[in-house]
Amino acid sequence: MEQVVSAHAGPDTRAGVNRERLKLGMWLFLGSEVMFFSGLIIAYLVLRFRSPTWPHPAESLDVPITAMNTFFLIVSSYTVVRSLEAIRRGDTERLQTGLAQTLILGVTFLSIQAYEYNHLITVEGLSLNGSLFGATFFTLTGFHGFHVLIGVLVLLWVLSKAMRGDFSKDNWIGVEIFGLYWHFVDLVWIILFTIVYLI
Amino acid sequence: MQDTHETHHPNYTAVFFALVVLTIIEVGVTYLPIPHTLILLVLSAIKAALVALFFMHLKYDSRWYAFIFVGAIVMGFLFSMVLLI
Repeated sequence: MEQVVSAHAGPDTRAGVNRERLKLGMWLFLGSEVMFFSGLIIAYLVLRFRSPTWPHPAESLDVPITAMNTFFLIVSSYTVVRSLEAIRRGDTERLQTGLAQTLILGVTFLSIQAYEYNHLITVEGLSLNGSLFGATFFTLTGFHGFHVLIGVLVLLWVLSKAMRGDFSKDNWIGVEIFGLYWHFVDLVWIILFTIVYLI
Repeated sequence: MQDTHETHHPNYTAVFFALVVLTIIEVGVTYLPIPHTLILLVLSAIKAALVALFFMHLKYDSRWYAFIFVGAIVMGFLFSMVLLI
């Protein structure tokens, strides 16, 4: 712990220590999230590859539209990282624009997922308890979508703080902490998109 | 260890384009008549690593964070191995 604190304590020692504490807390939380998703992902892989039959995902899932959704989430990670870069330069305007773009992209992702769920349930007849494929699909993508939803809600709060001018060249830790969570959610989707939709 | 976080500015745009290109390759590979499971897993792992190393600054931040993150991945996978028993 001491090493973590001393590693980044700059001239503004107290602020540096505080920043590192917050980041350490977020990384520990993300560590627990890794464990959570690892369990789900491995359960999925074990169930899938031990099943005598398993539908090819592309037969019922819409890969092109989800690939587009993956693109939106990657862009949103990029807008977050650019927002952080902006506020570290003291550019509050670009911070606000970047966070607003991220919000739009996050809401777009959720909207497309809602459309996809609706299509799968009403047209394809897929359900949580109808088949192992449906159960694992909705569990994995549902828990991820829930994380995006939480991210969007936190982003609303971070954006409102940015609009009030709470962040500055010397105070941007809130943006960085939010960014870590958002990137993690993007990272999990990168894995899920591959194993649920493509393989 | 110095405060490298302040001094390193990775080329985020290059990382972003790499992620997009790798995603396009991934989707493209599924249309090829070749066994693609391993290729897709490797490409996906590269993308995840790019996000963690550059967007999440693991490459430049304290090694403790990388330790927590990678440690959790290893532990998560080891614990989940009971599913194979």
